[in-house]
Amino acid sequence: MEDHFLDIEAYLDGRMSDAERNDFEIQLARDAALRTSFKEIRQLRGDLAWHYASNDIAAAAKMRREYQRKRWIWLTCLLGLLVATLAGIFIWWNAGSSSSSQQQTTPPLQVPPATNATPPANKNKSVPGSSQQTPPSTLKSIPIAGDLKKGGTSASDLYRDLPKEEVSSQYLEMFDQSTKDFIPVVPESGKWTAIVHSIRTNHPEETAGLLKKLSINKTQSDTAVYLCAVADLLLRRPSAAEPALYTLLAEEKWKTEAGYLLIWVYLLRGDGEMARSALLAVPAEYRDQSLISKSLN
Amino acid sequence: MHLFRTGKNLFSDEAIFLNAVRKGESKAILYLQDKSAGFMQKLLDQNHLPRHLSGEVLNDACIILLKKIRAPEFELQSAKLSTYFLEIVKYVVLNKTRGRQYTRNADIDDQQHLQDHTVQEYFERKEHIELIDRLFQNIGPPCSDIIRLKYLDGYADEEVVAQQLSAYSTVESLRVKRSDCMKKLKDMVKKAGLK
Repeated sequence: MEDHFLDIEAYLDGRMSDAERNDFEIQLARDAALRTSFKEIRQLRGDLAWHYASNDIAAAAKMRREYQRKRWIWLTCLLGLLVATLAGIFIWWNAGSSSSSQQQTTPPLQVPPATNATPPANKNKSVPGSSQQTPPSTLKSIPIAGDLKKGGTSASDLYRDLPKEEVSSQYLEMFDQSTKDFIPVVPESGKWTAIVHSIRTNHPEETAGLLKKLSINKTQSDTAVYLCAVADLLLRRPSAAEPALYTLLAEEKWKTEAGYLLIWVYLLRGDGEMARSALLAVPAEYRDQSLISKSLN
Repeated sequence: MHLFRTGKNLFSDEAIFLNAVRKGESKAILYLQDKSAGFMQKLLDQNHLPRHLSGEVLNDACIILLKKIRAPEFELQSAKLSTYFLEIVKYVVLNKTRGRQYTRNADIDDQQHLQDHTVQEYFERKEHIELIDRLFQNIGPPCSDIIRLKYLDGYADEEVVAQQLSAYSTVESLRVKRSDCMKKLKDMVKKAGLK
C-alpha cells in the first residue's frame, strides 16, 4: 500500500512530472491491483472531503442552536424583568391609590375607648364661640425616626420634637392655670427623681434629655412614656403627646391619668367637643376635672 | 431565522466571504444560510414542498457548496457566492421534489440539464457519506491532524514540516505516516461494510 499510496497521492496531487505521469498511467493500465488501490484512495479522498464539509456544516448548525438558546434565555430574562417591572409599577400604583383613598376616608380620631366612657353626643358639632377649631391630627404626631430633631430644643432621639403648635387662646389660659402646679402621678424618687423634678419645677425641656439617658427598657416602660407625654403637654405639643397617651389608655394602671391628660391634648388643639367627650371617661373628682368641666360648660 | 444578518458588514467583500466559507467559518455559513432563506422558502412553495424541509435543504446545499468550493479546480463563475449557492439550493429542491414525490406533476427528466455532478453524487451517496462521516469521527490523533492538514487545510507536506505543524520532521516520514493513516481509514471503511 505504502509504495502505491505515495505514487497515487503524487499523481492525484499533480506533483508528478510529465514523464512520471506517463509512466504511472501506463502502469495503471497494466496493473489491476494498482488500479484497485487507485480507485480506493481516490474514493477515500472524496469521502474525506464530504466528511469535512459535513463536519463544518454541523458545527455551524450547533452554533445556530447555541445562539438561539442564548437568545431564548436572554429574551426570557428580559421578559421576566419586564413583568417584574410592570408588577412593581402595579403594586406601587395600587399602594399609592389605596393610601390616598385611606387618607381621604379615615375618620377623625375620636375619644379613646374607656370602660366608663360615654360616646360623645353631637361630637361633630363645633364648640360655640370657638374660632380656631383644628381637626385632630393623627399622622403628624406619630414618631418617625427620620423626623427626629426637627426644630426641637431637646436632644432626644426617642421622642419627636415638633414645632410648637398654635394653641387655642380660649383654652390656653385655663391650661396654664391648671398646669402651674401640676404634679405627676410618679413619685419623685429612685431613678425617676431627676425627671419628675424637671417636670415639677416646670422645666419640661429637660425631661426628654433625661429620659434619653435611661436605658432602652426604661424608656420603653409605661412610666417613661407617661413622663414624656407630660413633658410634651407642658411644652404645648399635644400632637406629640397624643399617641403615647393612647398607648397608656390600654393599661388599667394608667387609664385614668392618660384619659385626663388626653383632655388637655384636645383643649390645646382647641377641640372642646373632643375634650368634653374625653372628660366623661375620667372620674368626677379626679384632679381638676370639675374645674375643666365647669369651664367647658 | 435571520440570526446572522449582522455579518453583512463583515462579509461584504466577496473574496473574504468566499474564503471564510471555504475555511468552514460557522458565522459565514450561517450568514449565507440566512441570506438565502427567503428565496428557499419561496422555492419550496413553488414546488409544493412543505416548509419544514427548509432546514434539510439548507444543510444539504451547504455541504455540497463546501465540497465544491474546496475542490482545487473550483473557480467562481458568477459574480457572487450567494448566487452560486442559490443555484445549488435550486438543484437540491428539485432533487427533493423527485425523491419525495411531493409535487403533483414534476417531470424531473425535463430538468436533467440543470443537474450537477456534485449534487448527483451527493444524493446518490448520501447515506454512504453520512456513514463515512460518523466513522471518520473516530479517527484519533495523530492521523486526524495529519489528514486534516493535507486534505482540508490544503498544506503541502513541505509546509507542514517547515512550519512544524506536526510531530514529523521530514517530508518522507510524514508521507509514510499519512499512508499508514489512510490504510487505517480504508480498513475501517471495509470493516464497516462500506464500498
